[in-house]
Amino acid sequence: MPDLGAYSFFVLASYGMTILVLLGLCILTVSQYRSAKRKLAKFNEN
Amino acid sequence: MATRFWKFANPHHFGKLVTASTPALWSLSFLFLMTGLLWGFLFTPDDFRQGSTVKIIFVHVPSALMAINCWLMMLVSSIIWMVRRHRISILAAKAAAPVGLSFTLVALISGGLWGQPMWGTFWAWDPRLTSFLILFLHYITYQLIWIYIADKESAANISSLVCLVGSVFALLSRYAVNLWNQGLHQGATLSLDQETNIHNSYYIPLVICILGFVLLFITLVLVRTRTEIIHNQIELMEKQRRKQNA
Repeated sequence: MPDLGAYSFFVLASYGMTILVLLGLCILTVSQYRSAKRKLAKFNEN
Repeated sequence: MATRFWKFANPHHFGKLVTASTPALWSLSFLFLMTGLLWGFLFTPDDFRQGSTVKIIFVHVPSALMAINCWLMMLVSSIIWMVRRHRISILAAKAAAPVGLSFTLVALISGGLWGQPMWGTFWAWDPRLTSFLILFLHYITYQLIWIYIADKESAANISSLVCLVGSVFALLSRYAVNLWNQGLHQGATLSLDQETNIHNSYYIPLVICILGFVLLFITLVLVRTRTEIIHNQIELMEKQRRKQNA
């Protein structure tokens, strides 16, 4: 862990927020894709 | 080349392309992002003036760059929709909007977190910051159009117009630092027409981070477009069934 000095909050907050937003977007994208595929498969079954 | 490109405008071919390419794209995005962010965070030196806050460059610059380029991609897709009425193009623009919105949000927040210790304020009505905020509001408007306008055809037309108007602010965000010398925001970090760029110790991890963001953007847009196509397919099939039952 590098010594971030007096600015540690700003650096860690920017990295944490970025990772959180990108991870959330990836999870949302994959879950929406999977649910759409399930819906299509169900529709084709009926 | 053009014929090859238009081949993927067919939903079937597009689906095949997404299925075949996404595993590799996910892995590459993850690899580049992890390498760039870890390199930038752990192994780059502090700046003599900005101290450790310079490390914010590795999340702020790629996200800002992609926020603008995402809008330009949406603009191209919207123009294709307006000229050729090709459904996949407008679905691609619709799919890209939440990705661009997220990148804009990351750029705005990380910019504020960088600005506070360096400028003494989270926000200033500087040309670049203001044009970026307007771009962010355009992203929200674009999303709201698709959520609240039930008729898909009208939503596609209106959102394309919003995209055209918003592109002015996307370009302004890109060139604001060159057009106006006033304001707190520094000049462009990376430039093709500049002889001197940032030092190599920052340049290499920054380029890796940018590549990671580009790859992640491509992956997310491909998967989201495929999702939109599936929803569109289901809607059409439901309509057909209703007609048959009537």
